[in-house]
Amino acid sequence: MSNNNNNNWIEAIKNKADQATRDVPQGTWEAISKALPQQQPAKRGAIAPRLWKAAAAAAAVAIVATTGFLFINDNNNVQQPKQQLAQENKRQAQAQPASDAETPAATPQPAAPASPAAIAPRSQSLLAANTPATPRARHSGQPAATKRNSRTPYYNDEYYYNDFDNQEEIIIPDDAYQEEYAEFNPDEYFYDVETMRALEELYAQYDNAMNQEAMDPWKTYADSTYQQHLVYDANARRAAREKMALTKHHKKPTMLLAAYGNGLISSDRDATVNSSAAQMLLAPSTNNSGMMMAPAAPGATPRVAPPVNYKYHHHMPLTAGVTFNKRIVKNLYGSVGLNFTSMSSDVTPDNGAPEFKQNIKLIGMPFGVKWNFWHYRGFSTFIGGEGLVEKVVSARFNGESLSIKRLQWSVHATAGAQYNFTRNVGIYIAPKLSHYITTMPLNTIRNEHPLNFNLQFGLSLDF
Amino acid sequence: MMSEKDISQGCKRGIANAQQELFDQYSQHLMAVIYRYVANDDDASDVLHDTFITIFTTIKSFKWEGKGSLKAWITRIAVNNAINFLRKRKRLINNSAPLENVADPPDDDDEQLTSSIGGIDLDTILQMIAELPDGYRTVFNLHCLDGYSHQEIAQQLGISVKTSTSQLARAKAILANRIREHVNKLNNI
Repeated sequence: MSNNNNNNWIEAIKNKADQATRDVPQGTWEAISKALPQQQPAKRGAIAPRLWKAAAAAAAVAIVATTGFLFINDNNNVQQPKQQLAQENKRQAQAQPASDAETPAATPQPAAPASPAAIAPRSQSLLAANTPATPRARHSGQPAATKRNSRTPYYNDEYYYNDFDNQEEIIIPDDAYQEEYAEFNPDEYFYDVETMRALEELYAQYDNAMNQEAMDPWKTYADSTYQQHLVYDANARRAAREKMALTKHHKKPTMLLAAYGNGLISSDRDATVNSSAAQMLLAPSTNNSGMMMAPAAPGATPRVAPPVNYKYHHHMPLTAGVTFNKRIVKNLYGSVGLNFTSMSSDVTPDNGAPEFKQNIKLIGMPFGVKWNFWHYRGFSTFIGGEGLVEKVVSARFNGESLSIKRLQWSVHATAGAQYNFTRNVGIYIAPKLSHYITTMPLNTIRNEHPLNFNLQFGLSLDF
Repeated sequence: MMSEKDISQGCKRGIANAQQELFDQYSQHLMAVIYRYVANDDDASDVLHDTFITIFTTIKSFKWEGKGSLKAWITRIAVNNAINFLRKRKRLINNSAPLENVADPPDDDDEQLTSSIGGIDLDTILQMIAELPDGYRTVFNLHCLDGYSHQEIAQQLGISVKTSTSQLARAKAILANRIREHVNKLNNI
């Protein structure tokens, strides 16, 4: 182009020519599009394998997550109570030896049975340890059998019954089981949790007293109560399955006795649990009300201790973490990260004891996908789904440290906006709907509100 | 309507919708560009077809450099295809078709020509360009309308820089005369 003044007319022509258009003959695009597949078949199909890769990756994540979830849940049924029991035994070993007068084994004198009216309130008890899920004999000496939890290697596929006369577990051959107990389907007959807890208290006392004759009325009452509370409730069944894991300890000192032995509870007639931590250990899956019953002291009638209720004031949980996003296909990102959560609560016992703190700290690994459905320059909006597994790294209840092995699983749905400063780095804000699938042994805001709404914001790194 | 950037990204992925959008948005512009070079509708249509095939098969090499970069890129492809077409048809070999004995426009004629062009419709101007001899027309298009330097034109057409400047001067002289003739004709009517 000339900048010469003599060429202004050329410039004028150029300006006109730049605006020029000319009709294209009909059929031109059809001819071009027909020619294209032969020249670039790979380009047209190129997106398909990428989508397949994305779908395969998503499926793999889902399978891993689901498998992990089932595996953890399966283990939780058995290992969680076992580990708690192990911890209890450890505490017992560390504790000062109890005096002979307070040792249940040294108090074989029969305890008078409590009246049904006195027993009834115990259904509210925090005492959940060693609750058996097996239907017991209606009468002394008549064994009731159940199929043990076949998912646990501990039990394999055996059948057994509790011989209360001799304080033994009797493994019965499968043939005999089939003949006598085939009609019993443990998947259908489970009992509500509170009943089982009450029953367990009765049986614990029965064991302590070691006098079958004297305890018969208790047991008879317990058995009849057992039968009256047959339920089909799924939650009760799940709870019963968890408790089944403890059945093997039935003939051994129960957790109650263990707690008794290490001084966490006393043998005083009106004693309650001496330590709030002991209560939590003995009642790993209960929440805000509880009552502990002391074992029978020599010559004493077991009494129901007054319940201790707790009021919780939960503070807002705080979570900090980092998430890495990797683009799978256009606008679809897979994400994985690491975060840290702190939850604290103020706990007030209603027995006049001073308020104390409950603190739980968790480390979590979120994983999920997000879809950027709109962008404008650096801004983008997205929706996403996320799974999160968290492990408790620290739990303190009234100053006492607790070991919690159970993993916390949760799922989250989110929609948010992001602003990228650079191609890879941005900030985001995202309202999030969360559902906590597994509950914690300690009462937290998540237990009380498994479905909640929260706000997340932070730094995003996209690669 | 898709943006230039979205079109280019879609075409890079071989997405049919993006390819059609590119055709819909730019085919008439490219047709006009090509027509300026080949001066024939049938030939322009053929070159346009080849141009789009070239665009879709080479678009991975396109680099987005802001608004207008896609249009500039595909226009350059269209120009190259048009020149290749002329070369294949050997229409550039005899580009020294009988030189018209025309005089360069006087310097004081520029203003008059500029104002005259404002009153001439676009089709007429394009027709005047199309009627230039192939060689003159090509150099005129490349230098005056598409921004090529004489050095680039010389390399592109395989001629000397001197030939390029000479042909351009003659092309401009012819075009200026025709514009005057056209204006005179209009004034006489």
